[in-house]
Amino acid sequence: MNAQALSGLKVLEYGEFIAAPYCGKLLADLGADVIKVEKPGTGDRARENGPFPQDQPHPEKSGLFLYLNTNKRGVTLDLKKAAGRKVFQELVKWADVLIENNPRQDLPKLGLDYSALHEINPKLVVTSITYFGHTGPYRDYKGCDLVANHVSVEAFLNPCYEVYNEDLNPPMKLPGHSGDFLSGVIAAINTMSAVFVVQQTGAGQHVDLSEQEAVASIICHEVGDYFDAGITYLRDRKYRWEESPKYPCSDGFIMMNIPFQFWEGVVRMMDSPEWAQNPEYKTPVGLLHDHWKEIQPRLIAWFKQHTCAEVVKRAQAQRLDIAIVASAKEMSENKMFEERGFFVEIDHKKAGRLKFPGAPCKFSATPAQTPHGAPLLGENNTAVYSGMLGFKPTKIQKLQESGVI
Amino acid sequence: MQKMALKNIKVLDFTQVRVGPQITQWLAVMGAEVIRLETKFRPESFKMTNNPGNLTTPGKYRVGYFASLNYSKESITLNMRNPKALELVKELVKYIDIVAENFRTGVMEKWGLGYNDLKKINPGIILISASGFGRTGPMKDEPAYAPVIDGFSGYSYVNGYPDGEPAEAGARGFSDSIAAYQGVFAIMAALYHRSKTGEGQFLDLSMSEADVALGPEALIEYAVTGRVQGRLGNSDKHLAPHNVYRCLGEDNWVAIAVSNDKEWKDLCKAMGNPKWIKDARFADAAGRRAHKDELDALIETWTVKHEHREAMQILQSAGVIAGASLKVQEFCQDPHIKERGFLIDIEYPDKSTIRRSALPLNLSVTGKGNYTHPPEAGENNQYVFGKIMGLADEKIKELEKEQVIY
Repeated sequence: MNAQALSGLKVLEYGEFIAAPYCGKLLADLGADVIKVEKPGTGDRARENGPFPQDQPHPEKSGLFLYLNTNKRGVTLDLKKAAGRKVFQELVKWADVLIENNPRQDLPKLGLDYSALHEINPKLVVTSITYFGHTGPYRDYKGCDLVANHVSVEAFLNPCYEVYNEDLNPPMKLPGHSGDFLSGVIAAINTMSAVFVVQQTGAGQHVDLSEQEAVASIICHEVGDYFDAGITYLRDRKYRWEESPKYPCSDGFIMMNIPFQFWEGVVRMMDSPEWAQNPEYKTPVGLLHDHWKEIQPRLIAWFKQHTCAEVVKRAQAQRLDIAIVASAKEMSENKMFEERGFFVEIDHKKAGRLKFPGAPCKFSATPAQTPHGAPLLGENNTAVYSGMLGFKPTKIQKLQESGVI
Repeated sequence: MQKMALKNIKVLDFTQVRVGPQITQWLAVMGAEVIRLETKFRPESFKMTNNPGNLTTPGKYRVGYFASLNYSKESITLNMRNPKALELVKELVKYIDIVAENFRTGVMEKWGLGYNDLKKINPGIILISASGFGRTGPMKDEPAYAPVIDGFSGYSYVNGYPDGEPAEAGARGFSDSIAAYQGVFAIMAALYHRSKTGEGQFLDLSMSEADVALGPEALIEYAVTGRVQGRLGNSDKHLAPHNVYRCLGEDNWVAIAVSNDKEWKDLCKAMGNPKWIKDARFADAAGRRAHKDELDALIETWTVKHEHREAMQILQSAGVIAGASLKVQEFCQDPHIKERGFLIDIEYPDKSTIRRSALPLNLSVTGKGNYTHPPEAGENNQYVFGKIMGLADEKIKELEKEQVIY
């Protein structure tokens, strides 16, 4: 087995749903030893999220949980019990990093605020992900992905040209839980940053990541425009930077970029119709500025007469910049992803074989291994409590009987 | 700069436009010395476009979008068409830890600066190469245009209202940003590996793959159930109410989500316990899901009476998950954002300043990062060629005259 990029990094994950688990996944998938702590009984609430095979809920078969928790070891532990907190402290001593996405007051209420953790393990990096951060007037506001999208302006600037009807439709969040996933990757960056500082100084520190800020980092230009020139973007076409590159075909949509230098290719793609040969279209200003408003409806009319597949084939023959607006099915069957080996087949003890997206970046010297499936609830209790922490069988039995693990 | 994570790390930055510069910006803010390689023959693209933030003070040259993505970096000018410039770059690589580029496939190799070439000069070098579709595979020569990548990576298909069409994903720069963050994390992991083993490597960052990895939910659905997920707008598969409601004023909205019975009761109380909450249809979570359209309409009868930020405050005080849908100017004036220190003033050598958003980097001891002015092209020529590489002043002047350092 190849060396892994993060071999040797010890990570304790105490969180739920997406943000902290996605951060943990990124580290685990590169070889860090990630121990995921879940509450006994129901575990991470992502186990209830699904999707489930045949729509039958099962805590070991939730698609979201299975994606987010590859390559981790899983233990159960109830931190609400004093005995559970004592065990947690042992794990904290072991760890280089603790990742958590609990509401700001949760760990302090258990006597496990940052300074307490730092005292137990002065080298520990604690990465806390919350929706609004640990400081500021909104520090105890409740959040979720929907809220993060809206309070970061991301929703207000999410373009939705054709459905756009300001009188009817509110600003719209990004698909899925993009905000939560985003804060996971940014948490991973912050975590590694703090890990490098530990390498230099021997001292850990607290990462306080706000999902509002994580998502707002996308709109850096718009923030700049406001401060540079007082520009206030409204949901209005005249502030858009370019017309939509989306075109309807007879059976779906395609995205196509048509800069001036591609126009001749576009004309050939359409079998050189006479209207497109207009000499006024032969300059960038003529094409994209003066006449684009009359050209675009004609383009759309042509696209609508062809299937997506046919358009893509013709466009690729002209070396144009095009893609189908792909559904999950089309993506799953996409030859390019197949040749790149992007999808991975995970073999899970209970859920069976699943084809999931793989590594976000390819490493030449430390390539990602085939992922190990997400842990069953408490799967590694013995290995961790007995094997790693050296608890005797009687102690483990007592912890089990009292519901601590 | 003492305690910064990437102090002593030098980056040779060939990147352009958005995804690449966003990666190297993170490195610079985390303390690395990021040396942008530019040339007077071909100004960086943002410097050519008409950004609102362009200042036109004679002799000065402040460009809004360039500034947003390139603060904290240095700049040298080299005319890469001149063989002497290539020789200088190859010499400079000896002092470098990370090379970053997002050209079309083959450009670096053409210059003799592909990974294998770089490795010969500097065995521990880390090269990150960002592209639309990767440096291998059938699409390695395709240009990287964000909407095309969005379509390809599935974001567009699931971005939109249920009764409408797909849309490009997110605010401008969404797919670039996602890929950039995955790239920064990959670099950090590669640096960690190098710190333990001395081994560098080549990081092949395909924007489409990076984006899919961060937005996998539709693919998870398809893998597990065989269903092709459609567009959900602001709604959620499980929760209701979970939507965005009109408020008092021009294009003002508030997002509200309820995830359990207690939060439902808190929402009702915050709205003054109107009579309609007693409707049997809304008695439990299943009922609220089944009748969410009617429920949403009724909630809106309350929200329309309040400005959106006021609604957020009332609801949050009552323990309800709520967020005003902020416009840019509201975000820039928000008291929470201000107190968090997310907006920073960056000073130029002439004491003028620009205000920008910081990066979401927030460490309790090391702080929020290193923020210095975006460089003029070639601003650091003397420092890099003279101090780092040890070229004599006369030599540098000679190369400037020959338009090698240019």
